Amino acid sequence: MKISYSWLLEYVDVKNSARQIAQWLTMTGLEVTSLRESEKDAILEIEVTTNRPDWLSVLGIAREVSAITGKRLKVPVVGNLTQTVRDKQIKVEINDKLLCPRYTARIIDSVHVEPSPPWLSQRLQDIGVRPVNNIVDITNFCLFELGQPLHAFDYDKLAGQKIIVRRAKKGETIMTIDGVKRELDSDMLVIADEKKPVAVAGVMGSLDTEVSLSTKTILLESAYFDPISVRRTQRKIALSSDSSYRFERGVDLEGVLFASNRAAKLAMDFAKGKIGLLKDVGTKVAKPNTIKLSIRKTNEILGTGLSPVAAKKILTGLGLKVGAAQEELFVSPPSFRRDLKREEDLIEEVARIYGYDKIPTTIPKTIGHLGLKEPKRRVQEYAREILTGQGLDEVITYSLVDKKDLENAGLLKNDTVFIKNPLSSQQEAMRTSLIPGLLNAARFNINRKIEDFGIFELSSVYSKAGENEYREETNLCVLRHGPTANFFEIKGIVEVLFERLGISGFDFVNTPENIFYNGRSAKVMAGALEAGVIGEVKKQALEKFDIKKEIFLCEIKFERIFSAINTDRRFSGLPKFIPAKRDISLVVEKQVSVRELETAMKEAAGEILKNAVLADEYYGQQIPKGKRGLTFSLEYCLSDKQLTDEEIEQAHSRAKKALVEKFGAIIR
Amino acid sequence: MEEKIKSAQEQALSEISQAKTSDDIELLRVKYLGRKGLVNALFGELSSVPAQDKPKVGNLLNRLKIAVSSALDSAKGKTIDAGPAAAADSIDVTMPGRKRSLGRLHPLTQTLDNINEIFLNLGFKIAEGPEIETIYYNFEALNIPLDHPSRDAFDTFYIDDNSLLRSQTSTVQIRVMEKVKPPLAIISPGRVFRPDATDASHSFMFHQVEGLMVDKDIKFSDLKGILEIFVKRMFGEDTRMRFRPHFFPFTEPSAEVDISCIICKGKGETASAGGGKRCSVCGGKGWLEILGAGMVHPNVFSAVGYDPKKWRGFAFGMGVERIAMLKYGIDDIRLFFENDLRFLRQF
Repeated sequence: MKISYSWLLEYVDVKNSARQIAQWLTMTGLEVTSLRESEKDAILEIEVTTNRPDWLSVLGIAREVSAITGKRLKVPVVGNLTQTVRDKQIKVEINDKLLCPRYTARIIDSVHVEPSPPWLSQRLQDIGVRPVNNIVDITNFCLFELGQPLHAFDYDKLAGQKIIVRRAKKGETIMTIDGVKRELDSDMLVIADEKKPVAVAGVMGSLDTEVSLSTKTILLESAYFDPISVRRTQRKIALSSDSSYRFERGVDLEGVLFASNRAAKLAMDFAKGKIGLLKDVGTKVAKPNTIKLSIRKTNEILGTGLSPVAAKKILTGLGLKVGAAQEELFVSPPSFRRDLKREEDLIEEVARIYGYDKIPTTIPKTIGHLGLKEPKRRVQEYAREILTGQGLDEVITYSLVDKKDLENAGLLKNDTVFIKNPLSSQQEAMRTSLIPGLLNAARFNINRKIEDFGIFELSSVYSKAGENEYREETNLCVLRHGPTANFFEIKGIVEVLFERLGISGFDFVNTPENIFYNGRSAKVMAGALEAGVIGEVKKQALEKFDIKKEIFLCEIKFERIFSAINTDRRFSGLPKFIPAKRDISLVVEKQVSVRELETAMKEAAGEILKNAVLADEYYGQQIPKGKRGLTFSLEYCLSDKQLTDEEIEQAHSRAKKALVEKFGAIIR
Repeated sequence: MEEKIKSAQEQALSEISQAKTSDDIELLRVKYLGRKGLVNALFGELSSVPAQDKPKVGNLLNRLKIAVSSALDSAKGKTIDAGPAAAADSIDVTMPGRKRSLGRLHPLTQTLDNINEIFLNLGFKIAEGPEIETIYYNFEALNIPLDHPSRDAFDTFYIDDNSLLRSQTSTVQIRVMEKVKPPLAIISPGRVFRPDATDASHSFMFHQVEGLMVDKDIKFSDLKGILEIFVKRMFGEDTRMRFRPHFFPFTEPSAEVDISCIICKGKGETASAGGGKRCSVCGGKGWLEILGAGMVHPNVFSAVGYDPKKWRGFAFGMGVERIAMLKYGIDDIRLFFENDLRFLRQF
């Protein structure tokens, strides 16, 4: 909300600079977000929190300045309002007392509708409100001065000299002052004359009962409307106004008549109006509320040493009624402070004005807990370390994705979760996989000529788990692009990760997967568990993501391998004997897998063959078509005995023989 | 004889001082200290020195040998080349080192780790909870009533009539308090969502860390104490902090916490030629808002079955992106989610 410095000074006896006042307000909870100083005046832009409708007025802010400085608050004085017009009648009927506990209507006759006097126009212009005519300007002036919204109808346009506060009927419509026809329904409160709605209660009046230059008599409305009702209506018809903004936060029930009087007096003085009949219907006094405030508790909660006298002084300064200054204060907030409901609310008031900055800083006595991370979080942090250690950069992509991206990655499933109110179609679905996000990140970087990179994300994916039930699981996705990238490189990254995480018995099983090339992809198995997929992404799939280069990726259901992770380590002793190393080079049919050859050698050589590791794969002129050349490095060793040359040679021959006999291999 | 030794020393030192290459030095070493060198020749003449002078002359000869030898050594260190053998093997040390590639954690992960670390050391436990939440945990239990303007600050993505994407991680506090008896101290880091149109300072997805401490005698001054430690560890010992009253439905009293601007150090302007220039980071205010905090509202305690008369606590919350942006000087929140490696590799 904007207020001008000069306007503020009319209600409180201070001489401090606008800058000083802005500083005070900020430090008591009325954050001044901008201060524009000119030679004559200053404009303060203030952020008013939703709990303080009383601050949505110049008088309310002046009250705060008065509480801070101890200087006198000067509430405007209305003066004499004698009724001089008696021939015009109005009836007021409230049909829904819950939604409208109080309604006042006053006739002001013989008005001269014309431009406002300069002082009035200036007040409004200063705070960014466009002057219209003296009557409308007076209602706006009172709204900003007192925080009570007012509305002026053209009395002669109201049918039947009657105001009925009721819920709208189904199918009723109203053309509001902004020229828009609006559909109403029975949840909305309206102000109606005998025939039709003439205002959406608390939001906006109708165009045809609006005050115009030809208006002679006005009916001035000042009322209290239920905050929730105004808020719902305002949202439903998508029309927010300075009035609805205040009603939905709650105006002062007891201030309704004062605002009407104030406006009537101004209409007398500046629109030549004559005072007519006043109707004030409904509850006039707010339910009193007395709160007990313990000074001991106040000091315990704040960590301060305030006296009852000091606390009382603060509360009194804010316009609260306070009983005798003793350990327990009995405090009655005025009707404009409905936000004060309980002791804690009063403690905040005391703390605010006392000054948060004066509250000491202490360390909680009971810090004795031990900081702790859940094992799951620790493992994730460790996984991130292992992956960055292998040269991969971490990315973070959005949880909300385009449905099309899921479709393009073949991941749109029945259990995909959708947002009911998305901002755009690009964020309408919750990701079921990290793959689309990483492919998009890859494209972004490839387009920027980054030609060699590896990225990963370890984050949540989402799916439906039943009717209105949802599942969130952590996935890991690794993506690699670049001159040396290939299936085995990304496989190696995953193998290192699994080894370090202590996942034993993982395996890669050749199975075609939807976005991967058949025969260049695999399922990642952790024991019997399907933990993920790995492979080279098909060109057709990449085209849908606008990627023209090769991409290798792997997605692991991290959540599912969690139970297989074991980062405990036991020392197993050092080998007592140095292993003997032998190589075998062979040529074999291409479809024979390395796994089969390894197994055959181990079976044939027996337990003394500790390791048989592929060292090289080669094709070339010496290798016939349809075959491949392989070299294995073998290590022979026993933990409790030094092997003799003879034992090693015998085992080695058995291994070779098995390769020849089982697979027709030619040993080179 | 003494004269001879003296002039030999002068000559040797002068020649050595003029030597330019290690070859020159080797030649001089042979000339003076070699088996047939000058020094040995002078030692040979020692036999012809009278017996009473022998110790003195011998001593002089020894000193000559040491002087020449050390002059040769120190000259060798100064020669231009390193000898023929070394020259052939020499390398260009200005060529770039061969780097093992090491990836980097996302700057948000790094920031989050920093924040977590500080609170872990203060005795907080890390608690996490679901991102898909119910209206109850996101609003009602946190004392945010339906149809109240305070909900405007928490516009929300809905999934069905009762489920939504959490708009703050305070939801985790409720879930923890439902399960755990006080006293407790937790922080809950995580992703949150709000349907804000994306621009340089808004993102529909971002990260928060919320903190909660509950015990019998927790005070507002404790909240100030804990946050002061956090702010100084995170942004530096010279960082100042201020508490401003504010309103949050789930705390009472509530505060917003500012730190002195990390760019202008709270002055509101940065030094530049011809006087100060308004600081663009804090907009000339000298302060940066980084946290919301307060004493847990009794209604929140009641919602989780804690007796508000018996227990007191404080809670605070901060945006990780905001902290990372301040810490690293990042001016656009979208950079975090674009995953441009030229950006990610700067941290």
